[in-house]
Amino acid sequence: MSRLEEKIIGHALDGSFLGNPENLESVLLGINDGVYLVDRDRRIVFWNCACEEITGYAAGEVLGRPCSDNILKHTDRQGNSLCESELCPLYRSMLTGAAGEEPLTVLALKKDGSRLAVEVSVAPLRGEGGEIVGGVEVFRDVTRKNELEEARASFLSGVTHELKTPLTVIRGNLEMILEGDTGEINPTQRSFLSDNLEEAKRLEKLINDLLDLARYETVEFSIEYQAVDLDKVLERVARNFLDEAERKGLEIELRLSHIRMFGDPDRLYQAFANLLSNAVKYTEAGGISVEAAAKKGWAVVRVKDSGVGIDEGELPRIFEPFYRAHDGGKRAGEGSGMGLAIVRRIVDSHGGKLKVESKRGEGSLFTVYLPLTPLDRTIPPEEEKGS
Amino acid sequence: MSESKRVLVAEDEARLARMIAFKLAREGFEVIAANDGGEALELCMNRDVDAVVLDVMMPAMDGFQVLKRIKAYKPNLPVIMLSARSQEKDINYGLELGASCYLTKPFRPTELVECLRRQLGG
Repeated sequence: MSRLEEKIIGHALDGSFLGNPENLESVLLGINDGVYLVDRDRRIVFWNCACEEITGYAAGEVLGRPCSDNILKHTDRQGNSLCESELCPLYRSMLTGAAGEEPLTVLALKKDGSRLAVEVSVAPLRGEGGEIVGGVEVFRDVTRKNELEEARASFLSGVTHELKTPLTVIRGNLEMILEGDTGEINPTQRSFLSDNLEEAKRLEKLINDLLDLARYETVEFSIEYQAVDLDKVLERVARNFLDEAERKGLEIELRLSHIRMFGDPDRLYQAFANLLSNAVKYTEAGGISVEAAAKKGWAVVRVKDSGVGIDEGELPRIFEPFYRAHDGGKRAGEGSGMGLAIVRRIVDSHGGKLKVESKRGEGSLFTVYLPLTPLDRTIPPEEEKGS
Repeated sequence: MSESKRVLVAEDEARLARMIAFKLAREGFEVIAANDGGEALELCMNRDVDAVVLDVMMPAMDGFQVLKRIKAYKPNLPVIMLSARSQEKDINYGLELGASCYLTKPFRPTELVECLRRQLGG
């Protein structure tokens, strides 16, 4: 263990330790992620070793130059430049004085002209009087990670397609036998074969969910933006679940407010359909409401039910693929546990946010925040301070 | 009853081909089978067929290529595509190339029959 490590583990960082600029510089230089600091005019004043390795620029080549000066050239995935605008996370954090909430993936330019995907975190730097004197950006090369994710997704999609042909034969033959195409069968045979058919249908649902998830997990997954009448999407979703709700004696209340936004109507439909499907599935009495409102450039849709609810301890996990909340084993075997994971993918890819509030036995409230226009990455209305 | 319609089934998966052939025969169609795209094209050119059932994923020449060639010289021959690919863009591609119907796996045998009947008018 080095002296530095001993010091950190033994004492955490105390004031005097932080006060020694040389130590701090060693730490920053040695970090595996690219770390650079800019002054008030966004001139680069510090450029660590990982920055050199990842971008190909030596510190001597960039120090003193503004970061927008053809160095990293951050763009979004569509190639739109983020420099010198509020779309640039560093620019924005220096403007607002707030650190970026979570790492943002952008494309960066290397010295050799190639582009790489980097995950970027930012924070403003303050002077002694609290005034903003610069900013820090930490970035990580995620190209390799993205490639692996893509390979995994394409493998998953290949395998899934391979599963569909055998399933077609299994289902088709069962259906022909049950429909009498092959002659008489006795009632016991019929009931067993019907079980087989139901199980085959379950497999089919699981395969379709897997395929969807694989599709939404591909890194280059892009939303086909077009003008969307959100009312129409929500009406269509609600209509789709009316019968099922009616059979259980539930009402679906729809409160709309003429929201037009940019998004992918098919994917939005799927996201809300998954939310409503859960609401209907896990509610036995009471009702379900879907409420949409526009707030400061965001569409806010609340899907509320009076169903079984979710244990608080499980809330952080429910958006994970394959995770299924426990409900006393009543519905063991139903669903694939991917519905909410898919909802999250869709909402994320629209630049939106998804929130859940729930308590066991007291129903659930899912809130979806969607920016009305694609590049609006401000903070969703309810998460702003003081509102 | 009118003379039975002849349907060419191009499907490289033997058990799926068997299922389709059984169902179509039972519903009164005459079935001829092709194991791959090349054979399908050849049979299509040399025999009188009233409709084609064509799998998209076949080795060597895939269903879309076969479809293009069939449509080039028999534009009015109904072709029904079978595919595991269920994304809208795949379905639209098939329909743009002139397929009459695009069934995604797993499809039901009766769906296929209904599709054929619609195309053959009876």
